[in-house]
Amino acid sequence: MKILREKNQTALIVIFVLFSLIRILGDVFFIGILSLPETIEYLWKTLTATAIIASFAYYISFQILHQQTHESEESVKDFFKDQTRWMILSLIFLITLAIIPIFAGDSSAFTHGFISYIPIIILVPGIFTKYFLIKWLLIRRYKTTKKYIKVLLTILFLAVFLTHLSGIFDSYSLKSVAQSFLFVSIVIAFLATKRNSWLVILPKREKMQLLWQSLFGIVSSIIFATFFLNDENAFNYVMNDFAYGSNAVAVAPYFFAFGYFLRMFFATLMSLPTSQVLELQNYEIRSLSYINSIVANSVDIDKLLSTVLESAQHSSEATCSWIQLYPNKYNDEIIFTKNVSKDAINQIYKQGTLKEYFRNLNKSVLIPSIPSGAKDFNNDLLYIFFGKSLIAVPLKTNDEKIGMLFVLHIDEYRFELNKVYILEAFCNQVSIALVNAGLLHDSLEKERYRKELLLAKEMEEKLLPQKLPKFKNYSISAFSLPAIVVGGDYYDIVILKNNKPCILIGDVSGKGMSAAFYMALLKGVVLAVASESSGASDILRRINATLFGAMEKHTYITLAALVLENAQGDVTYSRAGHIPALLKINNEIVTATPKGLGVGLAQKNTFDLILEEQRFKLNNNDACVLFTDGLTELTNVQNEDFGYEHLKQILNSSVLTNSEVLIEEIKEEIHKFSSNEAEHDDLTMITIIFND
Amino acid sequence: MIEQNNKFSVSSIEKQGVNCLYLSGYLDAHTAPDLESAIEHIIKQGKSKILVNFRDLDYISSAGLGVFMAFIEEVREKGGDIKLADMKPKVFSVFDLLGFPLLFDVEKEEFSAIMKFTN
Repeated sequence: MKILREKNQTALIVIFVLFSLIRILGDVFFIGILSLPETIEYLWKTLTATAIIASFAYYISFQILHQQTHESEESVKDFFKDQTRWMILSLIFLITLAIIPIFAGDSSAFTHGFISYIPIIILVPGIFTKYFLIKWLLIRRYKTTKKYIKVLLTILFLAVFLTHLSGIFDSYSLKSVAQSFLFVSIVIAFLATKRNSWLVILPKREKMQLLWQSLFGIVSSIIFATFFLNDENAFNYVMNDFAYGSNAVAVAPYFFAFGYFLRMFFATLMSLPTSQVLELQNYEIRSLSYINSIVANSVDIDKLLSTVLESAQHSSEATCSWIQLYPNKYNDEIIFTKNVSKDAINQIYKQGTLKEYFRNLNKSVLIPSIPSGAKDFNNDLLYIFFGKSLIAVPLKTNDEKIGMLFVLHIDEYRFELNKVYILEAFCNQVSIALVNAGLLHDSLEKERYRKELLLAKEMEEKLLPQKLPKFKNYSISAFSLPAIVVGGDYYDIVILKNNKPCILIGDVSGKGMSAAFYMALLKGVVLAVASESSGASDILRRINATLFGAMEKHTYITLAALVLENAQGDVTYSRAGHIPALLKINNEIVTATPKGLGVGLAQKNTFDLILEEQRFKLNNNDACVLFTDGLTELTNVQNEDFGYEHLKQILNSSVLTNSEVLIEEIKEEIHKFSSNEAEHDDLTMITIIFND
Repeated sequence: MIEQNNKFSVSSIEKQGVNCLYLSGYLDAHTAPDLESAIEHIIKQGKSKILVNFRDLDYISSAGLGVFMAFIEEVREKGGDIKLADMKPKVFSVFDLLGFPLLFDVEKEEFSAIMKFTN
């Protein structure tokens, strides 16, 4: 399509030039040399003129109209470009008008026909004017613009036609009718130029430019119209000689232009006083939009604050400004300054109660003049040496004050109330962004914590035994219910020196990754010392000797060890701070509580001295139950603890032969007690039943 | 040890040259930091005689016990101590099972603990 258009344009220009040459040379030949009968002369002039005008008109319409005809961001620039072209062409028109008398005075030029190039030059601006107006009325159109344009084009056609006829019949009345149509068209063009809001928000410089260019349009249109209306002049003579009605072709569009530029001129003139305010408002809207996009797309607080400060200072036309965020759980104090140093600010903050005064401000404050107005607010404001007008706006989230924005001007009475509103709007954006950033930070924290817990749990599961070994005459079973929030329960069965099985149970204090880490450490130490240990208290002593000093101060591990001395039911039990085990011996329930400190609480000497070892003899169907406090501290909806009672009851009532059965009974009891599995610590139990 | 979102508070009074901390509510992993800061605050002032009164404390977890372990060495090196007093039976049994009474002075009543400081 584009290529076609280009070909068309080139073709049209070629036609235009060709016909112009034909006409000029033809005039020289037919008029200068030969003499033609009137009708033929008339036809020659009219037809060549039509061809020239039509080809050029088409060319221009391709150039101008076949582009996009709706408003875009480029429109203002384009408009000024087109208008400049129009001005240049009109200037050429004016100059040509001025020099016509020189050439028209030389009658030989007429008789030799070598005058036709002048009308051709004159027609170009007129035709360009027509399409310039159509384009720009369409780009800034509204509902009825097309109708108005149709009316204008009809008037143009009528004016040309009537002027043409008046030339043939030499009728003055036809000419006046044409002229009155053209006067009407001024009003129509004026009415059609309705959409002028685009020029209201232009910067001042461009407005002035528009003003002068519109004035030029008005004045040049008046000049051309005058030449047209005043019949007996060189211009009309030359144009009529070229073709009847060609003067209308050249000048009629300028009648429209007069109406167009007249309206534009007044619209621009009336919007001049408010141009600065509007420019600022425009800037404010664009700033807010830009700040909005920063808020939406990033949590870069530094970038946001410095952008807000920049916008705040510019839109309030302040000479200096600063914005500060008080320290909070996410950051230390943040201060951004513009055109003032942090030292200057710290200096005034040291004066009297100024810092407190600002800290306690919960609403925006406008001080038009600090020297005269300070006493109404706080006298210490007089210490501010770098400004005489002040606006201070608090930054708030959820009604909590988190910072302040200050703008100052070196002169007094520079700030008005509406500045406060826009600054508050900027500050609101900052608040939203900070809330967003905080929420994001918190949710990231939560996510990180959750992941850590999952990892810790995985780790712990790997550290617990997958399968329990079997020992003659002992039925051993274990059950572990990990908590959602990982708790640090540990158990294992290792073989000591002399091949004695040792059942260990323990509880690492702390949660999450830290507990999992200590569990791994514990397991390593257990595996290392097991084969060297001779008994329950011995293994616990060795573990403490290794671990004490290797753990953080506030961390300790409770442990208990039960060693199966032989296949006849002799067992030894030692307890390093762990909750006591329950034993059923000869139908009696015993709570085994030998003395012992938790592992990691005391160094070797103290620990070893305190640790006791108890010996028990299990008979047939006797049992031993080891567990962690996740079991005893399990709470139900009535806030009661599971405690020891339920376990004691089960041990008393059951005939104990198989550990797996016993474990199931205990599990059932747990279920009955508390169906709420949500919140509990790690729960571990190991049952050992002796059957000979 | 079950973690709950329970209330905990600690208040401080100085009596006869001893900083007395009064605990109330639930001391668990969630609230332990409050106790930590209270003890830190006292130590930062250069004081090292600390008495902790458990009269109004309903529950303590391993994290709570850990707080005392974290500061005891530092305080004793400065010639002071952390003494514990007036525990409810349930709270005392937690300390007792762990063997704390063998490492710390745990008194039934506040005044006897303060007395131990002046001797």
